[in-house]
Amino acid sequence: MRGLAARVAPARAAFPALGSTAVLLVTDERALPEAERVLRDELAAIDAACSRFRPDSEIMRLAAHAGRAAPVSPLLAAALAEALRVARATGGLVDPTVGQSMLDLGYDRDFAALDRDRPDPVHPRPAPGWWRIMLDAEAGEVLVPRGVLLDLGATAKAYAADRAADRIARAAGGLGVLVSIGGDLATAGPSPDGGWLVGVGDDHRAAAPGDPVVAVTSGGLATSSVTQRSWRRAGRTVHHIVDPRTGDVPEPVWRTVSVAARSCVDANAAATAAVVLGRAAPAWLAGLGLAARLVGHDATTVTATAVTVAGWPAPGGAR
Amino acid sequence: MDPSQARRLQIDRRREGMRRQRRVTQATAAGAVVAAVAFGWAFAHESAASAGTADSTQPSQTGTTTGGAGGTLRQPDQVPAAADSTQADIQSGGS
Repeated sequence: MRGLAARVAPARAAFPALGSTAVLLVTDERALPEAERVLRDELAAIDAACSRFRPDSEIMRLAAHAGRAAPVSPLLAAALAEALRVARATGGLVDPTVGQSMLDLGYDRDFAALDRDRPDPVHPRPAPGWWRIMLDAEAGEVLVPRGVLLDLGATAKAYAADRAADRIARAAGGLGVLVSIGGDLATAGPSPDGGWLVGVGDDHRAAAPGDPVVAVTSGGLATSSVTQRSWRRAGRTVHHIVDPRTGDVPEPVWRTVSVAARSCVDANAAATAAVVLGRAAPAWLAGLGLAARLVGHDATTVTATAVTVAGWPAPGGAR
Repeated sequence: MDPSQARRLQIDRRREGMRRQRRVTQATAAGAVVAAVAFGWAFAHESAASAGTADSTQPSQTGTTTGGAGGTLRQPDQVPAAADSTQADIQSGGS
């Protein structure tokens, strides 16, 4: 590791965004104000285009055009294209048509305002399927079939992180940038000496004893965990990760999965797909050559065994 | 008209009727072929309208006209390394 003794901690800004927390790190403190302005601008644009909880968002207004081709902004078209790309790449394990499944499970408003214990039963239905979304990004048109509710969810946040990091780094040549939205992070430009030091655990808000620290020098790193955004429904615990094949929460195999990939979108998609895939996830991730850390659980305890694949650093370096 | 002329005329009319029937049969067969080709073409080119309702979980070969390219998740240029420090700049975790 280069020059760790003389390492200067990156400059930092953090603020609430997209129902979570945005964190910005840059290698030059003087660039921080303008970088934060760009990040806030990107996040506001993504929220206006992709939020499922804003009736005036562009994606919610698509409902008025259900079953017919509708014009979409370049930003929403690009976000949809990314969502469809990762849906295809994950074989549908991450699917933007799970909106109705989310509503059925009770995730029908911003999580802070959610009823955390509803007694009425759930009748899960499989997601309609991403392949039903007809997108022509170049023409700026999309056809969403009647009865399909889109939920770009974490894909849109990860896309915002990728866009913002790239835009900030391009605007300030030579600047190293890390953007994190709710613990899913994108990097651009040169990393600090020793890389970006990233703690990895169940919760992006605080490290727990034993959480490992890894050095990231490029690309994205994302973590999907069922320990966050969970609530009770009809006497059982459900959460925000849905198996599109059933419309229900996946079998509880992995508690938390972290993946490194070329971009934050790809890392997020792989981490979420691994939670959905369950026992087959380590082999699937290894087949893709994606470095990952998977933490299992037995549904009631936090005792876990971490599995690492495809070059993820072996256990050690824990705090 | 003598009887032989009347008989020839009757034969001519019968032959004309058979020719007309043959033409109709051939035209019908040709029309069926054209219709079959047209239907085949139509169903091989799924229209946007066919995605009008959500009632199936079976994937098709279409889906997107753009944006569907790139069928894999990409590896990073460099995988994360074990950090020398235990003091993180940032935390990645569930949200």
